[in-house]
Amino acid sequence: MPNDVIVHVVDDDETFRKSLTFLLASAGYSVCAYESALTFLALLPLPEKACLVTDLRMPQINGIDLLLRLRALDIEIPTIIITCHGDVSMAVQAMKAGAADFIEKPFKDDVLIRAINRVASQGDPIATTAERNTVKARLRQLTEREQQVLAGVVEGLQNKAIAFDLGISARTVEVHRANMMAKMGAHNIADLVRMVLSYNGVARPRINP
Amino acid sequence: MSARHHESYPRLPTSTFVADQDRLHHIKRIFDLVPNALLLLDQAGNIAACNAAALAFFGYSEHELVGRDVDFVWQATATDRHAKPHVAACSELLTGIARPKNGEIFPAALSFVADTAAIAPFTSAMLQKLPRESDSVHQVRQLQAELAHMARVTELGEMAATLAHELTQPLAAIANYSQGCTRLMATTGDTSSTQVQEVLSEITRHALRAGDIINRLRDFVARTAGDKSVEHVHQLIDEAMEITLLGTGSSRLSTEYLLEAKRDRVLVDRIQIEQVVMNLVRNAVEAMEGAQRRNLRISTKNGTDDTIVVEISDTGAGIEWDETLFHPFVSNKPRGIGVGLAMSKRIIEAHGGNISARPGAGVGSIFSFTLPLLERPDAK
Repeated sequence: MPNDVIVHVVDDDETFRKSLTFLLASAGYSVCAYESALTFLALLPLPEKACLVTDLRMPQINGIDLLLRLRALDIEIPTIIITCHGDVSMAVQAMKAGAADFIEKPFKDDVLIRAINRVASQGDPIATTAERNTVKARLRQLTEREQQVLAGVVEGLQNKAIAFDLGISARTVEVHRANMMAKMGAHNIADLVRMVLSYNGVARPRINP
Repeated sequence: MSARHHESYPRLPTSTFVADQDRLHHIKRIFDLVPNALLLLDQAGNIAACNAAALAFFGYSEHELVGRDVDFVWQATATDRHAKPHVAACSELLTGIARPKNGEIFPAALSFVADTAAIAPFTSAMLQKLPRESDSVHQVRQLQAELAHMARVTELGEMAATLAHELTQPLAAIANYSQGCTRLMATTGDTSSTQVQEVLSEITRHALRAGDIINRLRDFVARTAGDKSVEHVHQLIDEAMEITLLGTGSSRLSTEYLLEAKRDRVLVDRIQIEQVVMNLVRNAVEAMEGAQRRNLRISTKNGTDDTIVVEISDTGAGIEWDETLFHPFVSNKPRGIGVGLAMSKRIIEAHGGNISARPGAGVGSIFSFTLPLLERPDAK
């Protein structure tokens, strides 16, 4: 599927940057790759229909800083954050700083391509109204406890910390968490955070400037 | 306490002969029943009497000891040589070497209590066994080894965390390249490329799986809670087997499944439990290399205490059995580094289960682990 969207890739790791460029090119995208946030920022402003895929952890300017700078420059570019596993709390920060989505390394190509198409074509992060309704319906199925556990998980808290906050055992948190994940249809925390943030709208820079 | 008895011994009241005899008999009994070896020395330092514990201790009979110099069974160590024990002032503890009849010398201290006020002055000596130097040295060595071991485990943890980080990048790159290739081949529509496409999707699958494993390893090393989910053990076994038996030359291997557990719902970190199954199965397959009969059997059953028991048995050469089997850095394999079983043990125990091993019936070995069942899934 040929695309008129230009995907800008920012990643300091050459191996990964090159492979990602190859993957996106093979999927029919025009790709521009940058080894740092600064080289990318130097090229602004961009033509229409652009999408940014950036690494989270980079020297000097990291993914969150890059998002904040873009916002300060009043540049709206749908951004997908590529994270390493375990960076959930940082990923949540990135979402709050305006990232449209985040994906954990290594990933299936479909996941990334779907995300790019979604954010680039709609100019709207993550969810359609239908998808938001699905999330809403799922959230309604949760018990009060499960909602509390969900809130903790999305904040990037460990089970132990959630257990302490709620005054229940870590094992009970584990059970609630597993049930909550199943009810939400979330494969992992990234999935869950994405759903919840899309529903709450916290992530969208236009709502929360 | 015994010293007090001996002190009073010569001063016994002699009101009636019978009472005297009774009393003497009583004191003799106590003397014999004291668990420590006791020697009574006369003024010349010769053994005048000894209790039952002393006889048992040195292995001599009473007549072999009485009249002998105390040096016969015990000698002060060099530094104490100047002191003649039997002339020890009042009470003194001297270290030395005990020499029992069987020749096995060992360090022992004698504590002397002299009673010079008695009609017939005498010294009582109580023997106290000291820990052997070799015992202490052995203990110190063992502690050192444990420390070194802990250091290695910590080091391994740090190494694993670094490795996990470093490996994610190339794995992600492999996944990207193979997926890109798959897309390119699909667009060219070359029919001969079907096989290559299949291979490419296998590469992708394995790269993504390796990425998963590494991520879990990082969680594991960092001791953060992995993502636990409600899983069916039988499904996990199926998945793990599918991956493990790829490329093990499974054509000559017969695999038997006896998944008989009625209940198999558990709350676990899926990847970790699959790792354990893969690890045990791989061990079993390796143990059967070169064996005539290569039978791998995986069975499950429900334990009495709301658990599921998973057993993996092989018909291999068997392994050396000792308690270090599940210790880190102990391996029976020529190229093993001995982390697999230790890791498996940690995983299973972190899930509230047990892992154990035993020899198979006649041949091979059986490894089994248990996991607590998740009973009421909607328990509040």
